[in-house]
Amino acid sequence: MRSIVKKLGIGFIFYLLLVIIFPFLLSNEYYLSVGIVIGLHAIVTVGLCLLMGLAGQISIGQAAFWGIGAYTSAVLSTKYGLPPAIGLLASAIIPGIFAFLLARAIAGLQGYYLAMATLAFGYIVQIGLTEWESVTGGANGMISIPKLQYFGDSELSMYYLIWAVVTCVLIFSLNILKSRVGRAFRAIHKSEIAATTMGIDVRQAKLGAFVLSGMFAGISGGLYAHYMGILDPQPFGLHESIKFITMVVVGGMTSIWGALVGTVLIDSINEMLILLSEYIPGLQGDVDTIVFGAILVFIIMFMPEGLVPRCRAFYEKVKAKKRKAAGSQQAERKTVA
Amino acid sequence: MTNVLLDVKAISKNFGGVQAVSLVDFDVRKGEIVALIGPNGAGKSTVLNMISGVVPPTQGEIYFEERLMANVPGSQYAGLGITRTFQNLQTFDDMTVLENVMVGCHSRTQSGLLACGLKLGQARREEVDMHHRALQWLEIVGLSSVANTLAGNLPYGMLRLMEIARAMVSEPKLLLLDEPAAGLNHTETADMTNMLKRIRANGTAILLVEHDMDMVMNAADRIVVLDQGEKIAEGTPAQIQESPEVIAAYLGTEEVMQTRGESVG
Amino acid sequence: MAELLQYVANGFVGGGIYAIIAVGFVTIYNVSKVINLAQGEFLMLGGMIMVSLIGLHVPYGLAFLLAVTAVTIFGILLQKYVISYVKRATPLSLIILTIGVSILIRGFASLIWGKDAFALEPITSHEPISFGGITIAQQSVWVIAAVLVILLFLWYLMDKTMVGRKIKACSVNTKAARLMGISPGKMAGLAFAISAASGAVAGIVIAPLSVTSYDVGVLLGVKGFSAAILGGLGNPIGAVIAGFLLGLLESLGAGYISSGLKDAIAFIVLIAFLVIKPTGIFGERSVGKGGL
Repeated sequence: MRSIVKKLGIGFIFYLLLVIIFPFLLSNEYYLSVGIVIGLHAIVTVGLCLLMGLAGQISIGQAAFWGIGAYTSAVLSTKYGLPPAIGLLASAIIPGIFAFLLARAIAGLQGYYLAMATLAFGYIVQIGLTEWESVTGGANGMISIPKLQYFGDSELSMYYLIWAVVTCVLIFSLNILKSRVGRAFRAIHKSEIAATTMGIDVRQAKLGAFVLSGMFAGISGGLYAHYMGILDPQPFGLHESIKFITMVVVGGMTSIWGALVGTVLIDSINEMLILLSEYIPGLQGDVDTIVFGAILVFIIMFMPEGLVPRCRAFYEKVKAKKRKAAGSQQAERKTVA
Repeated sequence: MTNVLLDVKAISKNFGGVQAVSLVDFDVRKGEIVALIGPNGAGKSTVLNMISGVVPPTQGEIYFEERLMANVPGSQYAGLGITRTFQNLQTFDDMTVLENVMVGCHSRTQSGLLACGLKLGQARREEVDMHHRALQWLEIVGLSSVANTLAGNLPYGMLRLMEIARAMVSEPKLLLLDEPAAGLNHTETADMTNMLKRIRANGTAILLVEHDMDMVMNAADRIVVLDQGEKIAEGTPAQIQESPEVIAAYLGTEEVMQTRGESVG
Repeated sequence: MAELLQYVANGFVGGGIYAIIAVGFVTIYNVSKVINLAQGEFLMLGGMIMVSLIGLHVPYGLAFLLAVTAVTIFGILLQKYVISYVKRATPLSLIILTIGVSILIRGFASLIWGKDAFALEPITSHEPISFGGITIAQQSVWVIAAVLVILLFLWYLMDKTMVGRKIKACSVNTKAARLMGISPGKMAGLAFAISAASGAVAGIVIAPLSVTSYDVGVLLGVKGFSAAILGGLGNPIGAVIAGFLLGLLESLGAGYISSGLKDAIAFIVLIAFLVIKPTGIFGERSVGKGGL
């Protein structure tokens, strides 16, 4: 037992327990649906964290991959009658191909130029989804996308399915972080020249990070389509891309757990705001935009490293202090003796 | 099979009209330390950058183990056996010292995205091996006690040693060092000099750009002197100290070379 | 032929606005290396404040002055208390910060003005003018006039005055400028003031062409950013040319291909350009240091 705890890490076990018992803590369809949406977002943000936090490549168009994934699976299963499993597989592969092509084209871009290119890509995809009416149904979107029924069609089974995917994505990403490839990502973030002289192919590393994050977003999109049952291009634009960035930044860009924490936090705040707006009918504007804007500004100004790394640093400090205190006590005892 | 490792043939570098290096040639043989010296702005760092594939020469050719390096991408140099350190350190501050050195193993490992993400057997084996080798080199440079400290929290001198460990962990045939003694105090410089000798004893040749004459005279087997982008002398430390061209080049900037052991700023 | 001329004329009007926004981006970028993604919000604020003032029966000219002044002050405050506060800023963190500022402004705007669209009366009559087979609104003439005045003014300011030289000094070498007694902080504030003011003017003159609402700044800002990037960051002339180019491209794309795809066409061309030339058509003026 102890060895299992040690192997997985106490944090991971805590995460698993929380995911498993959440539906019983708040056993209500509404909370369950919130849990599902958080899971869907988390798959995207963990991928974005690999791309942005580790490899240092900004993407202001991540919702586009999400949208491509959603439409891929929806079109394949609705229009061509393929089983959702194949649709989901395609919803990982097709966005991956898009990410590969985009990254290949723009791998030479840096900083603001890269930001602009990904932003433009996001717009192009959203416009494409809206205009390609014969396939995507245009602005009206698609309806009656089949639900996933591999484990029954209850909301609860969907919840567990999605969080199983989140857990896989999480484990995969944590493995990457502590591996040759993850270190290469972090190396190109800090110094492309040094990375190159260590034998890292910078272009290939960027490509890998883009494709991986694109595939994660695509998988999430496919699940989203089958969970919602309906689809329109509206959620796959700049607004959602910025929300994904907010989630990653709040939790701490350099930490994969940070992406998860940020996602939970931002989505929870979002739900609270929706509840609040029911009680305060006078609020006609986008209160959520104000809150998210304020959060972004606050984080960059006062806590640029994000929540999780900040808490970790604080914890280390306390631990070090304790150790020091214990050390000096021992020393005192020695001198007395 | 000759024993020439690196052969630099008449390389020149032109930066937008400014001739930084012109028609320099020299070679480095297996297992020797060659020092590249010269006054500030002589083009030493540019030569090092060309040899390490960071910038391409405008003219001339560089051969490494009789292979023309002109079309070899920069990321393949480490795999072929050339690694380097940087004058103004290029360390990965948000990684631990151990992780920094493990990045140095990149060229000696293969596992890709999928293998790493799924922790397949190959990735696991390589990870263990990298960990082991990185620790070994940290031991050699004397940094094992700070292996798990973030590189950003380390003092300058230790970072220099870390860069050497990072460059050496892939067991290169040629190590390029850009001013390894810059910013080090007297004792640290002496330690560094011993480190270079130890690396040479291990079979790795070193090309060294350095201002510290203590280190150069003490460690180098041969010295190449550059002035204003051109090679003005080449020889053993003893020959260089006698060379009138070298003395002329250094005179007026600082009184050097008169006594052995004084350093050139 | 008449059709083509009509599209070109329309593109010219739209492109002029993009040019102004792009020059705003470049002005700030050159002084402080910041890309202010809240640039589009300056236009929105200008138009919306103007609408409110006219609603309060403030005379047109006075309302214009007040609106521009308000936005300018806002720009200065933004630089002084938010942007300059961020230490060790990287492009990544600045992008995120200014995106945050931008959505914050938009959120407050939606709270103050609501989500409805407002119409602003044109400076002169609604009657369109026709000549040589093309028809344009009188307001479009005003837009072009305003664009030309702003660009001329900026050119004069940058090339002929001491202030302009100081700003240029900051953009070439901040440290050296500081040693010469120029305060980079003040110059950055000035750059924000200039961009905010020209943005506000642009926002006011284009508002009567269609309608204005709390969220018009998003797309305008993105287009201006596109033009600034396309022209090669830091290159004001490149930004102006790229702005007009983008406007023409959109207008022709909307006319000959599909109006729904007009934005997509502009962005596809942008990406294509960046792939061919990663530093924009005219290249970045301030070439980065070697890195070693």
